[in-house]
Amino acid sequence: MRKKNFNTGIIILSLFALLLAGTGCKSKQKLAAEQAAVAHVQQVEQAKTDLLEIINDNGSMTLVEKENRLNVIKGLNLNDSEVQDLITQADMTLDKIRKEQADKLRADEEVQRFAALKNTVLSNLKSVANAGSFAVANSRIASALNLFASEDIPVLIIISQENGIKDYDRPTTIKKYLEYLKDVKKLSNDIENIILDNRGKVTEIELIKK
Amino acid sequence: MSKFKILLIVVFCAAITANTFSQSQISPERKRAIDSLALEKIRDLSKYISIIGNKETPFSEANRVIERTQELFFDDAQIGVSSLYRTEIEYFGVRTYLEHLMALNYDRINISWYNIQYISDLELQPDGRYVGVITIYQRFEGESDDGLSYKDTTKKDITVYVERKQTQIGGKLIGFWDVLLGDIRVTETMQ
Repeated sequence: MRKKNFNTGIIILSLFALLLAGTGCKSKQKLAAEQAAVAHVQQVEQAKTDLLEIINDNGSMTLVEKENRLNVIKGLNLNDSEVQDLITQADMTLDKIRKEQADKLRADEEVQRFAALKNTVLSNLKSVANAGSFAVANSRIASALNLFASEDIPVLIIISQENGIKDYDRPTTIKKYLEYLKDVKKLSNDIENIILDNRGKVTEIELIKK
Repeated sequence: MSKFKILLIVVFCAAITANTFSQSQISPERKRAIDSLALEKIRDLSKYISIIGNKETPFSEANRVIERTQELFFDDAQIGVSSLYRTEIEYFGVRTYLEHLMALNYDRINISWYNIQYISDLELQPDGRYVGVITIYQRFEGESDDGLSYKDTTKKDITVYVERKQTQIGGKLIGFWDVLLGDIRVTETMQ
């Protein structure tokens, strides 16, 4: 009889323990779910903050840093409409920056190319002016003319400019101008502007009095 | 009808006055640029004359420079020629003068211009042109191997006309100052 009572007690205790264990497991799942929800909210908030920083940055981050941060946020696959909107905005911002950088690079290259071309043309003009004889000057004129689309391209010489109004000398052609340099043996103009055709040949040149 | 004619004449006169007035309104800086441009044309002319006269200049180059020189002058401009051996001054058309210069019977010729300056500043005329006079001194030295030699210095006055013109280049309207030279008058001839 005593043994039977003992067994009954064990069974009741086991059932009670089982009940307790079941309740504890359920609480842990709930806790985990709550923690996950909090973590998700935190991730969403952090993502928004980061995205706004990317969008509103005034140059403290490089383009690569911004791209890396945006890619990390995209990798989170956050299902939040505000985050998705900000990602779209950030993509547009980065596209704009990429275009601006490409434009600047092209503009810089253009400036460098113009400077190089200007130096080449200028050195050719000087070499004609500094030629020691007609024969040497003629040879240098022939060489210089290779830079130009034709020997009749216009040469404009600015003698003064004021309030956007340019005063020119009588327009001439590059052939006549090179011959003029041969005759007067002096280059007293600088290059103001050069226009090229699609073959890279000069089609118009604007000089300015030094 | 007569009132209409009077009105037309008044408008016409006002337009001419306004045009002259607007041209006279160029700033001192622009005026200085025009003054310098005209002086530069005279210096160019001195180089051209020196090249044409120089016996070492190849014939083709001298002829080319004659063409360039002619472009500096009005078509009917004349150049005076004097000599220490006669009192009168002969005047020739520009091309004739330059061809004579090229054909002078010396083996060595040296021509140089100096003291190039305005004796009468460029002044705006009623027709819208600026007109001035630039004086120069020319030193001429000619020698031949047979001992023939002639040297003189002449003072010459050159009338300069500067006119604002426009032309189309590459679809753009370009405003430019056209400098044209008139007569070259000999005012003094000395040893």
